[in-house]
Amino acid sequence: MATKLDTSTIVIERIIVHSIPRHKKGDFSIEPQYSEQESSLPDGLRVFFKDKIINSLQSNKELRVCYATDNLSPVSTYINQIINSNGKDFVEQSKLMTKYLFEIQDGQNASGILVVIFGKINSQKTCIIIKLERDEGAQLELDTKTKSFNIKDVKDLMLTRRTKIYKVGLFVDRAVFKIKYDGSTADLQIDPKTKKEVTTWFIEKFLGCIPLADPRGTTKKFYDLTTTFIQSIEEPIKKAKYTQDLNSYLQKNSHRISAREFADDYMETYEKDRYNLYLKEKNFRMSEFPKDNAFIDNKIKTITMLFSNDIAIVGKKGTFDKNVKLERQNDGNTKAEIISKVKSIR
Amino acid sequence: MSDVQEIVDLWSEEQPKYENLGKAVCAFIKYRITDYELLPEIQYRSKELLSIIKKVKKKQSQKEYSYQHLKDKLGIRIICAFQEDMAIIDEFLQEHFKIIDVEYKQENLDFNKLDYVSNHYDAQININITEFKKHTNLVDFTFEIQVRTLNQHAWSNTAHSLSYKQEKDLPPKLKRKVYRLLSLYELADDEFSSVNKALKEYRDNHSYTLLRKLEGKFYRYAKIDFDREISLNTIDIVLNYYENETAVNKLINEIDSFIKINEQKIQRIYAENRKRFYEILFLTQPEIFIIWYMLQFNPFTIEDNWANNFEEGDLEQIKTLWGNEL
Repeated sequence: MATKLDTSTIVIERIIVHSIPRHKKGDFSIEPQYSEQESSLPDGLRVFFKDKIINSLQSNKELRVCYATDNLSPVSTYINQIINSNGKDFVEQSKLMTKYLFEIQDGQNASGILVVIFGKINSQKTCIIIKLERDEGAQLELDTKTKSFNIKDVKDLMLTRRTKIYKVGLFVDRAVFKIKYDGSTADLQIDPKTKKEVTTWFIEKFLGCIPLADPRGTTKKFYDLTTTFIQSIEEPIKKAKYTQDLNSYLQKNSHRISAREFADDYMETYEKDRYNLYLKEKNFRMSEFPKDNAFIDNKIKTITMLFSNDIAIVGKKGTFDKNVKLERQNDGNTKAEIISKVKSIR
Repeated sequence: MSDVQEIVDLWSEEQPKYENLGKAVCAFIKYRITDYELLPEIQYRSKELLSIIKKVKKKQSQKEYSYQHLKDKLGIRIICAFQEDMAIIDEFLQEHFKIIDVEYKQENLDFNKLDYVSNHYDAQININITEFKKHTNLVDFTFEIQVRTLNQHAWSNTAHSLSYKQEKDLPPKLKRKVYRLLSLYELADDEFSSVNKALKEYRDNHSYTLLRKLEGKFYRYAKIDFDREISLNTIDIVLNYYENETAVNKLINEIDSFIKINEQKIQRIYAENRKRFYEILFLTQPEIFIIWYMLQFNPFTIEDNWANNFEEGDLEQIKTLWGNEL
């Protein structure tokens, strides 16, 4: 049976920090600043980093990922080497990750800090990667004596507005956990309004990962489960509202969607909890996934309301609620009012 | 005089050891008794030299007695709230100490007698207990553990101040007064117990019911006391977030098993964060279990309403402690 990865069990054992300066594509006159050894980590800072990792992986942006076999990124090899060697090659592999990150970044990417962690989750080995983006003015000084960065400086940067929010990837040996994915990522910079290329840069290009499930299948599953849930609601007007809401939600201009966001945007609190429990029972997660309507395009374009007297009203997306006035009657029936010209009768 | 000098010499050598033993035993009991969902008051004292000399001398006048016979050179006192706690503490002591002798004073009293009724144990540390392994030099030291309720403690202290001992020949009128007082203490203990039992089963106030369910569990993990007023207020507020009574009753019925299922996780959270309780005050209150339950089963109910009454950052912190499944 698969073991559930519980973020509260994360234990940070080793941590190393490397700095990646901003540079133009192909300009290798400047180089990353590598730590030659891991940073020392007092208990207080250990807790700080653990909290930050959990915080990110707990967000709606968390996504289960697998290594893409056809991806050029060597990062999965470095991660596996760290995990399989029980952290023995930690410093070297983390430097290789940094080198790769530096090579694929161009002038558009901000200066960055790469924090690589070796530790445990559920008492099993894990490798965690945190990428911080920072303003040019926010510098990290390499300690010439220890040849490492002071981890407290990284914390300070994370606490100031000079460091943009970070991206996190947590990876394990999937065979040990008997799971179908290699890890979880959270790209907190993802913005529904930004373009796909930007949203997936860290996950796809750097980490070399793809979402665990085919977005077309996940989107369809989300649609089917949510529709079934809506159908379980007794109140017809509410049912109609949620159906229209689901159609609108799936058609809005956004590359990532989530059950959580749908619930938050459209449902009442009590209904949200019922929906959450229902999806949990069905093993469908509340967090974000890339949207692809390919399998449900036809379904979400129309809405059909069938009455018990066999009269049906069919409407197009976004027009139903504007043109059909629904009213609950005291006897439990629903009154539908349409004021328009009859266009055709078939 | 030589006897006295011998006692002085022996005590000056042993007193620091008994003091160390007292510290170790007291710390051990304080930490581990919470596993039994109790938080009694625990004290220790090593006997004063003069008190030792006087006691030996007094006993010597009655029988053959020496410094070595004295079993209470170190005394540990456990003061609990209710009579029923004494049985739990007895189980704890039998489990974790080598009990040489035990006297349950209540059992030795005839039905028509009244007296101070505590449990006294002559005990030694059990070297098989991890916390005592480093104290091999103290393994043969016998000490006394007294277990009593708050009322018994009050009686004992007052009686001590009055220099009262039952065997003293008092005028009947005064003796009657003392007996009447003693019976009040015993009655009070009984009444407190029955009120405690009744309150534990009290179902009319959800917040109170929940708090009574949670306090023992809280002691087990947090190992500290908490602010009851804050608890009742917070529980009142979060229960009001529910839109129907069914959900509240479900929580009340399921909270025990929720804690039991997540025992290891809760234990780990407390162990990891004990040093920063001051940063996470909710962790020092039993209502944390209710919040974790709600985050697990009714996340929107708590998240949608929380900011109306509390700091948003607090809920974030509580969520972070609990973690999530990836």
